[in-house]
Amino acid sequence: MILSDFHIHSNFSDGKHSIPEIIDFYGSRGFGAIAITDHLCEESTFLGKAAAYLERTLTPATFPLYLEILRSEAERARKQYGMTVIPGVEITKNSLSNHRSAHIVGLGVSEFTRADGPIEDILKHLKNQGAVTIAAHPVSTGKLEKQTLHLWDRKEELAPLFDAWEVGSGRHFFEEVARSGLPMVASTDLHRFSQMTGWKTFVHLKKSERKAEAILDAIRSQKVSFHDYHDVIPFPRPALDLFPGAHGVGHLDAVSAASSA
Amino acid sequence: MGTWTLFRQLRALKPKRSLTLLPVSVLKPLKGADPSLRENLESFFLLDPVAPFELLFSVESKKDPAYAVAKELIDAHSQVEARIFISNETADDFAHIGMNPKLKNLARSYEEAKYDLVLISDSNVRVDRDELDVLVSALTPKTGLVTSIVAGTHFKGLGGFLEAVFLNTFYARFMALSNRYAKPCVVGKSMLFRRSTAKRFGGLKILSQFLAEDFMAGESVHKLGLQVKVASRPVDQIIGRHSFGDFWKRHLRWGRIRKAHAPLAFCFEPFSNSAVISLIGACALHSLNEMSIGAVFAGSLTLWGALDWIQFIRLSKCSLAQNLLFPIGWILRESLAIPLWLRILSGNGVDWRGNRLILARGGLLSETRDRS
Repeated sequence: MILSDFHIHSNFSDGKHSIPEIIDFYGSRGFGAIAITDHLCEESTFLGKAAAYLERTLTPATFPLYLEILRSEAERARKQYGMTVIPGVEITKNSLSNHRSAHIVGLGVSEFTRADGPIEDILKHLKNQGAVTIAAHPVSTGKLEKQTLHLWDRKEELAPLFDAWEVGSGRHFFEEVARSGLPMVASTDLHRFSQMTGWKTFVHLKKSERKAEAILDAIRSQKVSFHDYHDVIPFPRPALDLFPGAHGVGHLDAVSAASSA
Repeated sequence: MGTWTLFRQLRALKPKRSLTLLPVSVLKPLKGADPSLRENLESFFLLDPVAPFELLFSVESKKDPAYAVAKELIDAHSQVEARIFISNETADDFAHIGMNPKLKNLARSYEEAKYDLVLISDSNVRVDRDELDVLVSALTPKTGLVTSIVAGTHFKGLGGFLEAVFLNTFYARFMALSNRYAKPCVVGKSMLFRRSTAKRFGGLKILSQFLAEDFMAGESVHKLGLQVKVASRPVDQIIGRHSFGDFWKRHLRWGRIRKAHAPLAFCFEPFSNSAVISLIGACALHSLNEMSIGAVFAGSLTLWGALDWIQFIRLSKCSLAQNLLFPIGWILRESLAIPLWLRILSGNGVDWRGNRLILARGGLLSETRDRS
């Protein structure tokens, strides 16, 4: 089985860490596959423009650089850690209304996808690239924060266009998704390393099958199970010397969520 | 604060000799022959670094007057390992390189460079004998790129004077502040980096999609989690004779590049102008303490001008007479800042060595029409 995280942000959007730092972080914890999925916001809306001005989104100008760094770092991750790195994006349609907001994770992307326009067109564009499409945090987390509920509002209509729906996002577990019978995946939605504890996906493949395409196929065919992963938050550097071994140790709880394989 | 940051950065006046033997390939893109070109290029033949180095010149064609100058210098300094590449002859081999004219010119020499560490240095840069050691000594394992603060020297004409005032005051301060407290600011006049590092972000193929390859090099290095370091000594840009029109066009180009790459920062640029800041400060103090607007405004401008004058004297290496003319140049440059900002705002086109280029959002080159 391959321990995986398919929703991670880097400093190409609103993440704190660089792609090489993320790869070392996950690689040193024994992960077998990760996907870097930076925000790709609409270009025509006020919120999208603000994200571009604040450099919190991928743009046509930064996307080729993003793919190049992902390509070279994927190579390093494979050699150094035996870990597969999948290039992804999080198509971000934000609105003041939670019911008009939607985030779509695309895994295995190779071209820039415009976030403007109808969701169906975006999903088709992603699928034409051979990407896996995932509805990100589709139901309410129950907390006072931005929610993205549009996809769940239209789940019957959009279900055929999605390969999976996030059943776990960070520490949140979405029971509605688990009970819905829809295909699922669980990820961290990591923006900084302190958010590492949370839901992860095990992909049911052998180590020798750890290729990006095989992993994407496993998500499509739902050869996956979900686990609550606990990460020991590292002490500040000076304390590390006093407590050797305390740094960066992750462990998994017993299987605690649905396995839909 | 800016002046203090700049002087702190330049405090290490005695360059440190590099203790690591890192050989460097120096890449010199050439186009046209300025009057000072020979002396500028010769300063690279006189380099005396601890480690080996090579000089690689790039010109578009043998008809370019810079070719003859470089060839003559190579023949005169046979002890230095130096070569010239004619970029037009091998243009087809580098079809993957984007529209950036400088990087198109450099592509072959970049490929042929013998060493991993390369220094891209513009033709109007003149260096001291230990320049490579100064740059290499700034490298650490976490350093992705070493750049230098540019000191405008040897200026002539009104445009040249204004250019020197701009480089040695506003720009030097902006660069020091930006690198210390904000985003990396890289100047294409002098960029030292490892090709193995550049390969990780796509190298020239990625950088050549942008006119501001220096800005993108800094950005790419930052995205890799590496640092941009500023060398402990400024590099001399030989300004030469420039008209007012040359100055205006050049800064229109720079401004539009800034606008394309960092639109938010560009919006706030007027607030870095001495008159605007002094006026805001004077009005604020007047409303708080009923201090005289005129007196605070004049005092603030005088202090600002004095600090800029100190920077100018430190960096420009010019004669006493030119130093004494500084206040006139400073007032003129500061007065031009807002009209220039408004002009920059009005379009996205730039002229660069005979080419008309259009900058799209993010600094991508979207269109070109050759005027020559």
